[in-house]
Amino acid sequence: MSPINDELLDLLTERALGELSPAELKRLDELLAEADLDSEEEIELAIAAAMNAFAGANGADQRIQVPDSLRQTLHDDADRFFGGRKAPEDRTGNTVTDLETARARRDRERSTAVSAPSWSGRLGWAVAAMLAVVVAVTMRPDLQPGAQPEPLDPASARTALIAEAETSVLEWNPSDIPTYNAVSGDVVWNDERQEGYLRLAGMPMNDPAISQYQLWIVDPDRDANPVDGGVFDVPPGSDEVIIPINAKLGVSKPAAFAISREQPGGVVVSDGPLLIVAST
Amino acid sequence: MSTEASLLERIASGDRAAVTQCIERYSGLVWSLSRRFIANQADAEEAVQDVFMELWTNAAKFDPERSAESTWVSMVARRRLIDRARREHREPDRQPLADVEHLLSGDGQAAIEASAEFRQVIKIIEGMNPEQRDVIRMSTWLGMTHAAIAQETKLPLGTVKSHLRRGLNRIREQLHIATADGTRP
Repeated sequence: MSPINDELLDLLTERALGELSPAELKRLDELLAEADLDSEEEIELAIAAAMNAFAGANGADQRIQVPDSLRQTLHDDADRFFGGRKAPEDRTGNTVTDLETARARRDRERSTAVSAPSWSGRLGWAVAAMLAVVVAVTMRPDLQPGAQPEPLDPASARTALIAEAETSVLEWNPSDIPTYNAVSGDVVWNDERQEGYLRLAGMPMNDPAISQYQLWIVDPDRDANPVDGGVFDVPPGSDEVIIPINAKLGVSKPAAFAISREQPGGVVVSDGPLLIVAST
Repeated sequence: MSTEASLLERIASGDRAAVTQCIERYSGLVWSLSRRFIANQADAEEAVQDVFMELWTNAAKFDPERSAESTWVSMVARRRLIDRARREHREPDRQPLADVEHLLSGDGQAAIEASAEFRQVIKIIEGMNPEQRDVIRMSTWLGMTHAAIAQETKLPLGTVKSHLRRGLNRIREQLHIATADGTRP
């Protein structure tokens, strides 16, 4: 495999992350001219793939639904955008010539760029493979090829998890904080599956624009610092919520689960009070 | 090249039905990214519209030999959202993280085909030391600047950059090995 010039990779990465000074930009242009390759998009693809990978790994507790009004607006946009174009109703009306034309057009555009050296193409493979994470991390660990089970809602998934061996259930300890001392419920966790759920009854609602709850998982075997378990919201009027746990890192033997209230999006290191705790 | 045309290839060739499918498949992904970058909901919705316009306009530029379609969609969205933030002379808002699981659930076949690569990449990520893994996550996933990462992690700025470069390169190298030994197509 061809080695990548460290300086070039640095600069491409930093440009993709939006942090190049004018001097660095000039140097990047020089290197790109020398490198004889079209690699910036590949770096961006790599970053996008990594971003998506972490998104997938972040799990299912922060699903946000596309507003119906936005979805409709997009369809309306599409109608306007494609309104003047001749388009078949469905794929069966899409002739081979149509596709060949599209591919030929793309190839023509690409052929105007200098030919990429071997690492460029290989990075493309890397990018494609990294994307695997995007979709594959979303699969349940026991998902077998050919099987595509319907996802369970959190309550059903929690119930199913409790039925499995090795699943532990920890009740929330009474909180010393008045607003939270009436909170009850439990934490369900299964080490083997790296899956778990919070059940919270009487948890005060939060305004996601102002603050969000964040789960922390204490795993002394892994690290002295607690593992980020993801942020979540408690909507108004919720008597009880069940939140899937999204440990950002692997957790082997969690000793405790704790919830803090943080800025929207959560924090990397919390200095806020622990509102409620469940411990072994 | 696969003989099965991607949605974007079909859009480029004028397949109107593919446009509808594209919206259904990727609107959640783009919406979740937009909400991470933009706090105001109306602005975020407008940004999603911009992204889809760009996807449709440039659908012919997507090359399935270089990346999977959803990666390309995310790249276009990310680029557009960053451009928007730059125009407004501000840092991305980095809103609450959103998952994309449900958005890709229809892409089951791809997920099955990709599972081997997934394990490889997860192994790479898990094999990284926590410091490097955190830096890559903060940059690519949380969208933090290098300076913010340095401040958060108490690492020198040069170390942050080095972790990023080496981390991405390490994944690339490892996946190249997977290609060479046939464990990945």
